[in-house]
Amino acid sequence: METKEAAEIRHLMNDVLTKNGEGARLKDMLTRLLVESGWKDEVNLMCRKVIQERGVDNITTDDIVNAVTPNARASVPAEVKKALLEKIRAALIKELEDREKENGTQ
Amino acid sequence: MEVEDEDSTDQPQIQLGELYSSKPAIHIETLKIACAQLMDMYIDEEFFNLGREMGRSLRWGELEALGILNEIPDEYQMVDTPGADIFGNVLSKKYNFECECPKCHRTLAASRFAPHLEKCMGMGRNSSRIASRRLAASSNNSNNNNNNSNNSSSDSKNAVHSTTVGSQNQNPLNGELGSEDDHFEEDDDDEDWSLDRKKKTKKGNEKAAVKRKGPLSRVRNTDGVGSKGKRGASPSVTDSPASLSAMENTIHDEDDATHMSLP
Repeated sequence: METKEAAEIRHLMNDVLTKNGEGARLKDMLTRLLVESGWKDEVNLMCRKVIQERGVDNITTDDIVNAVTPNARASVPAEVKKALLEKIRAALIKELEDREKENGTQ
Repeated sequence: MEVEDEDSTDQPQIQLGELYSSKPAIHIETLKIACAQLMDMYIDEEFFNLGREMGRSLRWGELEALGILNEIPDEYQMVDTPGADIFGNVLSKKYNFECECPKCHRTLAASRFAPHLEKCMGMGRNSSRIASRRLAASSNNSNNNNNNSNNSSSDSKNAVHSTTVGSQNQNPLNGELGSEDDHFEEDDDDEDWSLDRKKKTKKGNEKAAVKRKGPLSRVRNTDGVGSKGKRGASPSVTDSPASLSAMENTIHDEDDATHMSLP
């Protein structure tokens, strides 16, 4: 029940954020943080290792992604996650407040 | 990897306001979960993009061209252990070198060498250089004159009289002293209100001093000034007056306008 609600809320939030442009800003911020923290370079390194192991000609993009994703997800720095989470929470709260106002006036 | 946005159109729209007021306790938790999921979604999107870029550069041969796929021999591999640098050298305290001060012959740590030298040679900003220079000159002169008197049978009273500034010029071949003098004359051009300043008028005494000094004196003295001293230009070691005046004419100093023209 909770996860279903959570999923719904998530979808809703994503829609809202994409519509008002906040989503794009959040994604840009995330990209910048990941690059600055060196995460991107680490993942690059991981990808290259995978390519070297399997051989250049035998590999596909999906292979790389599947092999690297679990490690990459784990290696996202905690500060980046915290910052992103804060921003998302702030956006969510703002959205809730806006909706309440709308409901209130309606 | 697909972005799961299509589901939202199938389900009925939820009034967030309703949910917010109805079950606050549980709802906060679900909001938290929703935020976390959104965050994960964004991050997933990030490395989906990264993977795609990687695949592209792979296919287009960038990685091969950049030499990224070549094996690095073990000895050149980056070392990442704590306590060692990137080449594998163990970090040590060897880099705190010790050096010996040329003036006072004390051994010093390298990081303290420059400030010590400033004070020791009387050349820094806060080192009351004139006073210390005088002291140094007097002690040097007394040493020199003592040596001279030991070598040649000159009057020992010379040692006493040698404490005046002018006596510095009696030792023209003492390279070290001469160079100190040069340095200090350069410094004179800074604001300096000691008595010595009055003794040496800008051009007169210095030119006279040059003549007294002899062949080993530096050109700098004959500039007639501090124009070079202030700017820190390095003097060339030539003696011809022609070159001097030529150089002087090319220097345009607003500050030292009075010193510009050489007769």
